[in-house]
Amino acid sequence: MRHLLLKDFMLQKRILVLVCVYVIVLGFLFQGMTDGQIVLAMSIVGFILIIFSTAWESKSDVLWNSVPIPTWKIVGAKYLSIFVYLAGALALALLSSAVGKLISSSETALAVNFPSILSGVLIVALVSGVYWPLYYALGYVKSRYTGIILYVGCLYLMPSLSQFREMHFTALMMILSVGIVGILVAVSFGISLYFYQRREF
Amino acid sequence: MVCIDIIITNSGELPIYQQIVDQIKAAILRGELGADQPLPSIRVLAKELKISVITTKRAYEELEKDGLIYTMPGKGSFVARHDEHRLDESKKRLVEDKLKEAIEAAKTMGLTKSELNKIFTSVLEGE
Amino acid sequence: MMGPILELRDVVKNFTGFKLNGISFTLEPGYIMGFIGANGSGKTTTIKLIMNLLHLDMGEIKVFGLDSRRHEQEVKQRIGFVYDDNHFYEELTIIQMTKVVAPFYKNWDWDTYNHYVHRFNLPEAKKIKTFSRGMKMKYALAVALAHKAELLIMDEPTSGLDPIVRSELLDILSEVIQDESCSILFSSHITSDLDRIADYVTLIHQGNIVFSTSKEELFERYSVIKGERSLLDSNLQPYLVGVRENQFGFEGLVVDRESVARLTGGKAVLERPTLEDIMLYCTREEEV
Repeated sequence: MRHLLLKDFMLQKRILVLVCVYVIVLGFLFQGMTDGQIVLAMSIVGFILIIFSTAWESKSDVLWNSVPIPTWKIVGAKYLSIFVYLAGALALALLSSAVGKLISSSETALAVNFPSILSGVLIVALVSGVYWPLYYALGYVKSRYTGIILYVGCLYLMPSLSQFREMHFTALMMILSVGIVGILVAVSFGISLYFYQRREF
Repeated sequence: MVCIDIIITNSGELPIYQQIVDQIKAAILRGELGADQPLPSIRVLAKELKISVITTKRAYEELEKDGLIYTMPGKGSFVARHDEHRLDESKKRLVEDKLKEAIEAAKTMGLTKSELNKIFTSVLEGE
Repeated sequence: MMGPILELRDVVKNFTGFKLNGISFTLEPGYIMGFIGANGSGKTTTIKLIMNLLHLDMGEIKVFGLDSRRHEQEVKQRIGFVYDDNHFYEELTIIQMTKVVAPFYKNWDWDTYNHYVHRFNLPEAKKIKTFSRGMKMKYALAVALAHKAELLIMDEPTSGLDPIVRSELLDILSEVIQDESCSILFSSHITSDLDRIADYVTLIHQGNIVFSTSKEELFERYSVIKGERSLLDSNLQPYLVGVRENQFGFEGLVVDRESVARLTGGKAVLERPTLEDIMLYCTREEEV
């Protein structure tokens, strides 16, 4: 499966470079950002990654279904790739944020605003969870439009979410939300797999 | 390995396997292919002549039926040996038959034995 | 391995406007089978069904004696495929692309792969999108041969290629089956490619198998007949598979050459048919 991730990496090199630049800049600004802005920034990164991960796949289904790979690996690699890249982006952001802090020798504490970062990741997970089954059910062309609609919808929801953030987060709530989203992603994976196995090429 | 030429043609009515049979048979009768000499495998022959292996297989089967070759499983096909004797016999018989015809013709025309002999010698030396 | 390498039994597939009507044929190991038919007759559909890219409605497909659905992964390990269209990533080089595909095959052999890449003169550091059609096909073939495939499935591999490349491909294929460890299913609407190297021929027309037999048997069964129109009488009819009249005479396909020769008293020309002749006349008969 790691070779499928490798393939995604090779195909998306240019996009990833852009994302890296974006993330590094973000990292510098991390301290000055509100929680809501951090969540928004992360979700943008996540969304770009999701959309572009399928940009090159228009004819490759025939290839992957002719090569001996079980379908769960094909679908699983796509799910995994988003989180792998997100983790990478996050690490990069924290790194550049630390560097930025050193340079500006600011007094603020390291902006590891865990709850907001976690919320960002969870939102990306949720969006993937909804987007992927659509992609595997409808195919590349049709799901493009639904993806855009999803994102616009998310943007609309964002303000209400930052109000939600005013609440005090306990560790329990964070664990619970990770658990719930985890289950949702697993269900989403199951649905995607179901659709993909029924597809004809 | 054996060095014979086999030329096949797509035009004409003779099936390709028959062309191969005829040409190998001729090569054996002419003595170009000696006893126990290996023949190319059916697959190599098919590849070189750019034809189906089923065709070459059939040709070899016909040759084997005629007793001209024999096949050892796993080793290939070879020119048959004991038929050399038979080949010599049939060659001789062919010539005998032709001579008999000439003698009959001579008898009906009233030629004597010594006149026939003279004609025979001059024709032979003329060659 | 005993038994046929590929076996289709009563395969049915429904589409709107087209249907595979319960097709059956087998391929014995070590041979090349030409799968011929007009465009749209069902060749690609059949191949996709073998590869499980389309799902069977009814019937059974066995590859290496294994059910193609229940043993899908094991079957695909031993199949090499070359399709009409390129499905590799155009944005990658072949080095990159192969690095992604090779790990999935247990029997992958880098030496074999490199041998073919060099033999085909494929540029390793250029993106696949810069390749010509022939080069893309050769790359697919290199990949297919590199994992010691026992069955090579080729869907119109020569369409759009010049005669030189086509001839190269056929030479390589006849090399590949020399040791009998590989069998080939080669679909094409360009029958001249198969005239020479095919051992068996299967003709499909409008979703039905018209025949599936050895090429030897076909050329023995059928002859092309050409002659004056006056020869076209009711005596000839039972032997006639198809006929085309023109201003100067007629041309057709007959069975039982000897009887026809006697019947026409040597006044008609009888020739060995090409696969194209057979395909044309047999399918027109189907339409009638």
